Amino acid sequence: MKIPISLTVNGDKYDVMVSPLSKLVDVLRDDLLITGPKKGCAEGECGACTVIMDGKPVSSCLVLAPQADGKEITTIEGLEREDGTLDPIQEEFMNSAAIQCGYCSPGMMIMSKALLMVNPHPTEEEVRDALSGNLCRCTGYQQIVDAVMAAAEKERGGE
Amino acid sequence: MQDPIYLKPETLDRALDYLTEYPQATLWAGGTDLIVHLEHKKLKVSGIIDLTSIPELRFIEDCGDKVRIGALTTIYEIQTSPVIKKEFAFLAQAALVLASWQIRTLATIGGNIVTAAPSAETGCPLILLDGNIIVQSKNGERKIPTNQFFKGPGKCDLAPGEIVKEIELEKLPHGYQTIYQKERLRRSMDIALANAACVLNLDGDKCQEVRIGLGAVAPVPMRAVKTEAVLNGQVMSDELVEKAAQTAASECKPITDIRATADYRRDLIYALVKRQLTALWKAGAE
Repeated sequence: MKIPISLTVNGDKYDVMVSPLSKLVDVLRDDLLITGPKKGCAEGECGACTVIMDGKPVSSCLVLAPQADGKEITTIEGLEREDGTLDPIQEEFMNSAAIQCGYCSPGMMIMSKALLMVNPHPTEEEVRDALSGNLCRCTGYQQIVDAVMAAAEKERGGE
Repeated sequence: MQDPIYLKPETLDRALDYLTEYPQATLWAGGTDLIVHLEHKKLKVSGIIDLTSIPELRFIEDCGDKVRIGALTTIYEIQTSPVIKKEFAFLAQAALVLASWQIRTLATIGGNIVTAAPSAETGCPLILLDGNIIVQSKNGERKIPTNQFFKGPGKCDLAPGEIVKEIELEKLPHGYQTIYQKERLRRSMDIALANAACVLNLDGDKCQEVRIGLGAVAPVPMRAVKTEAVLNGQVMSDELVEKAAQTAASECKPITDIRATADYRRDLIYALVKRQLTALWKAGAE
């Protein structure tokens, strides 16, 4: 039997009927057509499906859809600011050429956002630790770390 | 396939009622192991009792001589708790290297111990601390000493109808140092090839009391009692540390599997124990 859930994604409220064993990543992608989170491994290894749930990063493939009831979720689509400008993380990923095939990028950027939310001035080591659950098969890690450091620097300048 | 029943109790009493009504239902905490078993079709569920909305099971409380940790406390909360960092630094260190941040947000300490992996991150620190795992059923409460809770790979002392409620841990006396380390191939997500934890109390260079726990090298996180006997009451020296590390490597009981051979795991235990004793000894001497 399907059960009703309500969740807020990127500021918009959605009411959906879900199967108890369905996963948040599938509800986002298949029901809400929010396809930023990627379903890479479906077992929490790759980080491509990372979203921010109630202020904290989670692998959306490891969350049962009913567990997302009442939660606030941010995906890569929600990083852009209301005036249409990109988040500094998005800008710096472009500036640092931190995107190759792009598959890991939504997860990488969301995870970076989650890090900067609790630690606005990370060291390179802290960035690498925070992103250690996100795989990039193009192995563009150095550019990704550079991008996050540059985004943190930019936000610091804007304070 | 028929959808299972999904129940989301908001109190422990309600959860126990559901468990009585649906004894076959699966208790769901962080779910980070269970959902993977579902994905791999290794787990069938007829019902889910989702425990994540029970606030009374999610807390860290400093009670003077002991610390109480609710079973639904997340690994991220353990890792960042000032109380845990102060009283049981090695438990916070273990939490910090469990899986990835995205998983630590979801995974719970209760789930970690009930899953009872021989490599469980929280296992070694917990078996070295005096304290109890408190489980609740309709018949009341039961306390299991932390070092008796693990029974085998995937097996723990939890009977049908019981739910892990909290972990109560006695604080370590002043001057006791702790450390936890794991060996793995990847910086994140990798389960330990071997892990170890150590509690050490020194008087100058003399080892007053040592406790050593070894993980992923026996069916359950094990206490290295022979190694402890080598050290207790002795004056620390490079030779003593060497002898202790060799004893640990010989008393652990690793298996060969897809991740590492038994011999390699013994070598890792030798290295871990040597590294930990040396680190605590040097830190204590300062």
